Formats: sequence, structure tokens, C-alpha cells
Amino acid sequence: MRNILFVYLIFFTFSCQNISDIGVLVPPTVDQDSRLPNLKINVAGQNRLVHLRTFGNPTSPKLFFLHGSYTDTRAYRNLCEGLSEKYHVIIWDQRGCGLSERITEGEFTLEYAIDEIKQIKEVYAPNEKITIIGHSWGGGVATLFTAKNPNQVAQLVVMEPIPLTGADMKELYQQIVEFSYFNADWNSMARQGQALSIQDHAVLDYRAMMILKSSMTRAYHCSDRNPPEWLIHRVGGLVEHIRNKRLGNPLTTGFTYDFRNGIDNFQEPVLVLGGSCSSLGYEVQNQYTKPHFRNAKIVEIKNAGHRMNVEQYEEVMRELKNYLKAY
Amino acid sequence: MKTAIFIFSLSFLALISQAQNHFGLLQNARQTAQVQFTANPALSMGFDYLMRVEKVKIKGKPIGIGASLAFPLFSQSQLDIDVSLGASYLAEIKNNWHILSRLKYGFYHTEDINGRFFNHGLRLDLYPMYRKKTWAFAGHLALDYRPFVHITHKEYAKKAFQDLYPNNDGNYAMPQSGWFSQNLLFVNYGIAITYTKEKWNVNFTIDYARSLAKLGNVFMPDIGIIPFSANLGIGYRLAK
Repeated sequence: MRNILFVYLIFFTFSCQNISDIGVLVPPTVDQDSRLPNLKINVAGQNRLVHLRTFGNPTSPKLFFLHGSYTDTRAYRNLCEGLSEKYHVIIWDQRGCGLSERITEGEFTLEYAIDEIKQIKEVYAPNEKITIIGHSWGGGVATLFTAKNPNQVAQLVVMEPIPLTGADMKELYQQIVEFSYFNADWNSMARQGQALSIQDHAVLDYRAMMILKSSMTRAYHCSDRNPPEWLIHRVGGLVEHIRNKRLGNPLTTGFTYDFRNGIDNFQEPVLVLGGSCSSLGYEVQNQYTKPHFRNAKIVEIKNAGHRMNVEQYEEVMRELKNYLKAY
Repeated sequence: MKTAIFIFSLSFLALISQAQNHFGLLQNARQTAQVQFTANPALSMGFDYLMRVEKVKIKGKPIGIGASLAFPLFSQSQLDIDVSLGASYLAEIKNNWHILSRLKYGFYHTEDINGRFFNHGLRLDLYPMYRKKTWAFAGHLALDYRPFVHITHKEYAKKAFQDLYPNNDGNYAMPQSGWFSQNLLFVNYGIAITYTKEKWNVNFTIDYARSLAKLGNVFMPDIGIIPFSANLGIGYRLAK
């Protein structure tokens, strides 16, 4: 009996990898695998590697693409490739997300998110205006960067941005976020928490993928039956947690952020896209987002939820080409 | 047929061996069964059996041995199951003060869109309690340690590894399945209350559940949930 117990302990102790080892649960990040394309930037006093890809001719006008929350650049490659015909598209996994190096809590604020864009602009477009497209959270950050740096932005597109002010979010929160204690997806996520120890970021990221898939946000797609895939590499679990803290908590602090303070200084027309099925769709964007801009055009993408670029790619591309000056 | 025999045997083993129905020791009964509802915070339902073993006594008090089966009430997969075997002991301290303890070994299986997970480990529960004829009020401390987990990743997790390298020139092609070590240690502390009659008992435990893992239950406060664990059990005497 003792021998069996001894063999058992030896087997498990020495033959097992740890769940936090690289590549066990989620893909390696750029600091863990040098074969992944990366760029070093310094934000919040920290040198961090971000996973960055470019599409198109480097001599073309520069277009920065900002992804949303609970996702990374992978989900937007179709748009980047589509726009690379006329633009030099630069897209990266925002710090802490996707294949970019993980960050600590102190490195994530709205100000640092803007610094991140500035750092990358210094590398790719130091002396020219850029076009920015932002989706969801990325739409909010794109608006904030434009508000703070109106003379550095040529064109701005926001695809279903999150509510641009805390006041808007307060009104819309119940409409956007769906949570039920009796939801099977949530229960499974809680149960996974009993199976895997969140001892490191990899487990947190792995678990956060369940939120991405099961959607505690309403209406990612028009139909939940066979929705198009939303492929990602990694959800930055800790970043999502910090992001929630920075934006505010409906139960305690409320929402105090403001993405559009100063956006009046941006004179160029802004394109706002909203899906017909999304809880952040056309109606919401028309009522809440459009009035924040001096000169905005809003377009409804028919038969599309929040993930409009995978659900109605052709329609989104058509509207982008109608707006973008290079076409 | 073999599968049916296996499942039957497993259920039988669970039902005859004992119960996590350790509160059954408060009853004057040789065998008790219990149905329990648990939120930890995932919602589940369980069935317990406790048998008092008169031949094995510590300081004149018999121990109880038992088993438990639990299933989630809401789940992405209906293949989730927990099985545990254990022993319970009620020690008299002084006057109306007692300590109810339980040591169990559990096997836990869960499945979701990411993968299938199987782990096992030891759990110790201690209930220092003040006990009157029918009522008992107790504090609760539990340690739950599961150092190893077997993971079988599903397509959803595997797809995250696809299209990783610009020229498909890299080492990581998919997540790794198999046995892994981890530091899954939960500490629960809270209170319990029981009401015991001759043939039945009701018990309720509510705990704050703290994971000693590095990042703990990070997401729960974001959605307004304090990491908690609650258990309501209703036990019935099967044999005196």
C-alpha cells in the first residue's frame, strides 16, 4: 500500500506540468514567444511588448484600428485586410490583451490607453494625421484620443462604441448587461472556478474566454443560432477586471468616466455605425452617441448585432468605403 | 450494459458508504439520508447518506461514514458530477459545546465550452457548536485542497491557438491536455444552524469562500457577487 501511495505521489508531483505553464491553457504572449510580431512601447513607466500587425503599403495613409473589450485583433483581420487596399492599417492587441504582454493593475487607466496610441503613432505616423476606427471599447478610446488630440486625427469611425459618458452608461447599463444567477453559462463558469485555481493570469484568461463566448452582454448577433465565429487568441482576464473598475461599478461608485470631453474641437465628420439587433445598436447610437459629436453621420447595419464585422462584413466595408477619403 | 453496471455500482457505493450528511450525527439514528441544495456559488443539488458505525468509536462516540452525489442545477453540460466519500465525528467538549468534524475525499467532474475537467482532493470541515436539544448554532471552517486536475480541451479552446504565427512558424499549435498540478485551495469560513427532531433535521450553512490562489475569485465582485458558499440540507432518519 505504501509503495502504491509513493508511486502515486511521485507520478503526480514530477510528471505534471503546472496549469500556469506557457501554452497549457492559452497561447503564449509576445514576451513568451519571440516568433510573434511585436513592438516595444513605454507606457506608465513600463516597457511592454505589444502584439502588432500591419496591413497594406507603408506609404499609404495610416489607419489605426482599436479593438473592443473581451477580444483582440484577430477578430478584425477581415476589415484590416479589406482596408489595406488604400490604407496602411496598424492594429495591435492593446496592452494586456490578446498576444500582448500582460500588465499590472496600475498600468491601466484611460490616460495610459491614450499614451499607448501616442507611442504607436510615434513609430508609424509621427508627422501625419491618422484615421482611427474603433469598435465598442475601442470606439470609446478612439473618441477620447480624438478629443485630446483633434489635430492628429484625419477621420474617425466608431462602430457601436460603449456609452461615451458615465451618465449615458448609467441609463443604458441594464439594457446592455445581462446577468442571471440561473444562467447555465454563468453557473458553468463558476463551477470551472472550483476546478481550476486562478493562481495566475493564464487561468484567469482561460476563464474569461467563457464570458466572451457565453456573452453576458445582450445581442452580439441577430440570431444566437449558428452565429458567425468570433475568433480571438486570448481575452486579457485581468485587464477586463481592471477595465470594469476604471469605468465604474453600478453597485457602488456609479460611472464617472467621460470619453468625449473636448470632442467639440474635432471638426471633421464622424461616422457612427450601429447594428439593427444590438443592445448598443442604431437606436442607442442615434440617441446617445451621435449628439456628442459636432458633425456625425450614423448608419444602421441591417441584420447585424454588436459583432457586425463578422455578421455583415460586406455591408460594413461598403459603409467604411463610402466614408473614408482614400476611396 | 457494462456502463449501466458501472453507474449503478458507483451510485450504490456512494449511497451506502456515507454521507456528507454529517449533521445526521446530531440525530439519534443509525442511518440518515439528506437532500441538499448548494450554491458555491454555482447551484447544485446533492444526495447524501450517513451511516453511524458503532464498532468504531473515538472516546466512546461512534463515527459516521458516508458518501455524497451532487449534480449542477444549471450547466452548459449535464455531465457534471461530484462524488465524495468521508467520515464524520461529533466530539463533546464541555456542557453543550461540541465540535462536529468531517473529512472527505472528493472527485469532481465538470464540463463546459472550454473543456472537461476532473480533479480530486481532500476537504476538512470543522463546526464548533453550541448545542441544545433541538437547535445547534455553529461556526464553520473548511479547507478544500485539490492539487491536481485533468484537462481535456475542447475545440473552442483549441481555436485560440490557431492562426497564431504569421507564417505558421512557431511551437504552439494547441493547448495541452492531460494532468496538471495547481494550487487549488479554498478556505471557507462562516456560520451554520441546525434544527433537529427525532426523524429529521434541517441545516443551513453560509460561508465566505476565499480562494488562496494568487488572483482569487477576481470576476465575482464585478458582477455584484460576493464569493460565497451556502448549503441547505434536509435530512431524514432511515434507521434508528
